[in-house]
Amino acid sequence: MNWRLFALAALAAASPSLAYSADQPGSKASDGSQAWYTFTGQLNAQKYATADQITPDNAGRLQTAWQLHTGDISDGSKKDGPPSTVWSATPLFVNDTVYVSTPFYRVLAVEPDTGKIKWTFDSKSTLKGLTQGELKTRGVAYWQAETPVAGEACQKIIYIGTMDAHLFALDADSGAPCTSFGQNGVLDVNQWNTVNGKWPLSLLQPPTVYKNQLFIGWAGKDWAEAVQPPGSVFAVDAQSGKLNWKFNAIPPDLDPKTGTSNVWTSMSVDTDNNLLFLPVSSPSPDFFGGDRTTPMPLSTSVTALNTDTGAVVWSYQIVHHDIWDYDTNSAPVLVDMQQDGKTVPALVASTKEGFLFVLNRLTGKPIFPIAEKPVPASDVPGEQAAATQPWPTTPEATTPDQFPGISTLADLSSGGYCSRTMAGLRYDGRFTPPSLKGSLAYPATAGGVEWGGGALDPTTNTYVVNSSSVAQIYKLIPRADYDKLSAAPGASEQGYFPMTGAPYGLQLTTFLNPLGMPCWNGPYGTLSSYDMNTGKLLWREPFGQVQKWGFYMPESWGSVTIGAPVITKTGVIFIGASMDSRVRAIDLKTGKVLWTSLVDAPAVSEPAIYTYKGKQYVLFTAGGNSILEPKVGDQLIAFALPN
Amino acid sequence: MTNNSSSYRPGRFDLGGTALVALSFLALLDSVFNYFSNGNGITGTEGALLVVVSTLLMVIAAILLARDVVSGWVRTTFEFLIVLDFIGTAAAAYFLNAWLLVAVVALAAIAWLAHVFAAAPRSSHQMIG
Repeated sequence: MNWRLFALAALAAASPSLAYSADQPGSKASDGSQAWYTFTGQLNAQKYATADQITPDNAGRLQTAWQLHTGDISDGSKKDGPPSTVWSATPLFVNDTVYVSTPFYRVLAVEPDTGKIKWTFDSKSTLKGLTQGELKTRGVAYWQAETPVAGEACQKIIYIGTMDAHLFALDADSGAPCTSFGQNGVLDVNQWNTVNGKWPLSLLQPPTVYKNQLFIGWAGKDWAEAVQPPGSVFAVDAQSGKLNWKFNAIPPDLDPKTGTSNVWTSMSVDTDNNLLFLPVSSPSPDFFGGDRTTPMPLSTSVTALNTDTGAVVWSYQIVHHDIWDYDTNSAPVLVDMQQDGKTVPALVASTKEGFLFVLNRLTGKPIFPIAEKPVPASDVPGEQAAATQPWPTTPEATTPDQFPGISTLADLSSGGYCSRTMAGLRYDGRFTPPSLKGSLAYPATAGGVEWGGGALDPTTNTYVVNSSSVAQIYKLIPRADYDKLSAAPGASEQGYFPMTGAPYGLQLTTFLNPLGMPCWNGPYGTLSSYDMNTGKLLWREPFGQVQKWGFYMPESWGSVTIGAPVITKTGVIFIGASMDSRVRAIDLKTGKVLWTSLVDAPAVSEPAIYTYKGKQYVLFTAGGNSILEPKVGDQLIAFALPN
Repeated sequence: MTNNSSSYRPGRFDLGGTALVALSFLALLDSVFNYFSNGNGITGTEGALLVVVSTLLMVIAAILLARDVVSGWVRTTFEFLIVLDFIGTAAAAYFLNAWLLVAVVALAAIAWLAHVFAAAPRSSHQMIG
């Protein structure tokens, strides 16, 4: 071994990014290959697959290996039937089995090479949208004992959460409830919903599992009322469900005024340093902060907790006094940056604004400069928008700082509707506050980057992220007027957000012309690649295709995108996430599409990648999401190379 | 100058006209299949329905033209309309990524040209005569 190889081997051995992806029990299949054991692939949220069969050269030969339809699907059209389904589950590959939950809160255990069902479990949970407009699930979580005892049940456990705040624990081999968990296998998380508990703490995102603990966040409805349950994360014992610790994002003395700042998406873990990274969302109500002007430094933040105690180690607020619903919405991706010959433990937090915050993950200090820039003041009586906001300049944001301009095509085809509307709006660049006349929000709450976040190739520190370019209109409406408008027939389709208890309600609409065309210039979605050692943008390509009435728009327009990429060792990116219901393989080096396949609906989660019996599979759930388009699916589909 | 229906009727088997009808019908079948079959990305969409309608109109126009049912300015109008139908359907099919339909409509357009050119010499001859 020459000295260069020796140095590389030593670096690899010392590098946490290579070590901590496999140190959680269950993170390897029985043949020693990589498991896909959590929502983001690995606890470091890198979404990196070591499988190496599929390469840029042969990806074009991918074909369907197997598929199944769960039957758990609703378009919401049946009177007295379930609401529409949103299926954003990342399937897990653990215990030599594929596990996935459905929006009807069932679990399927599936043979990884055939798609044959091993067992199913039905939580029999209510199919009502208690906190959300749709039935949603983002998948299941998995825990296994460090040394499983053969023949003993519940040494390996699958967890599924429900809209009504119940967490079920199931034996991974049989699907039978683990009766020692919670009460007869069910933990009622709502038992801890004791402050402003107006609705259940919906468990739509699977818990994050690390060692013998589950870290549980929840989803609510921060647009509905001003005062809501305060954002909390619960750490419970993986086998008993006993509460170990609880984190609150909002100071208790502010509970009578606000709420949420919850963690509704996945979290990541630095297993070397026992740090849990929380993407903390915005406080309630989403779009008016006049009644919550006391600083809440943990709201809309990235916050690091000690996994054993729940103590805050550091926190970095990415939006001050959030009045745009700019939730931190994805698990920070951990990266060991190589700078000046040193390894710097860092994380990348992607945001709805399209900013990428690169922070030292041990201290929370910025790695690249982040300016505090003056931003526009609010002209709404009672509101006090923050004077400055954090503004990273490196890496380059995924969205431009300025609104990309009115689309000539959309404007002409609507007789000037777009430009007329724009002339009546307030727009002063990023962080233009909501206003009574209507403000253009660009980027808006629809993203930027959504809950999937980015992916990282830790061998080169190449970071890839998909991002939307969406303009929306935020119009605050005085309470009396709001109540009249929102009660009118057809109002539910016009984007009314009540924020009951605040002096204003909000009308939120996407800036479309009457034909449904976006009033702003594209591309509407992009895929970007960065060198995370330097923060330099490597390439950016329009991603996906807009589809309207069945018509595919030009590829240069890109598509609004929800879901996430994964990267393989061989330099292939796999991603669904586009409006056009296609899944794609993309060359990591160039951004060029290598392969596409049509699936039943937009694949709005991230794929799972695994190797089983010597064959590499890429597994997508095609479930749709109403934010992209009103199309639902129940398809679980695996792709592989032909034999 | 006479311009009646007989002036356009080819004296021999009208391969172009027959192909036009057959290909238009094939385009209709493909459009209907696209609208109803699952897994093609355009199932049940407004765009897929639009080309069902446009190919249905294409079939009707093709039959009227190939079987010489119409004449005079009505025929000219239909010739013009079917060309618009080819262009519009092909464009819609292109944006629907319905590549088979694009190909079938292109072939139908070629058949229409064959039908027109097959008819043209005879009609000229009759007009001279």
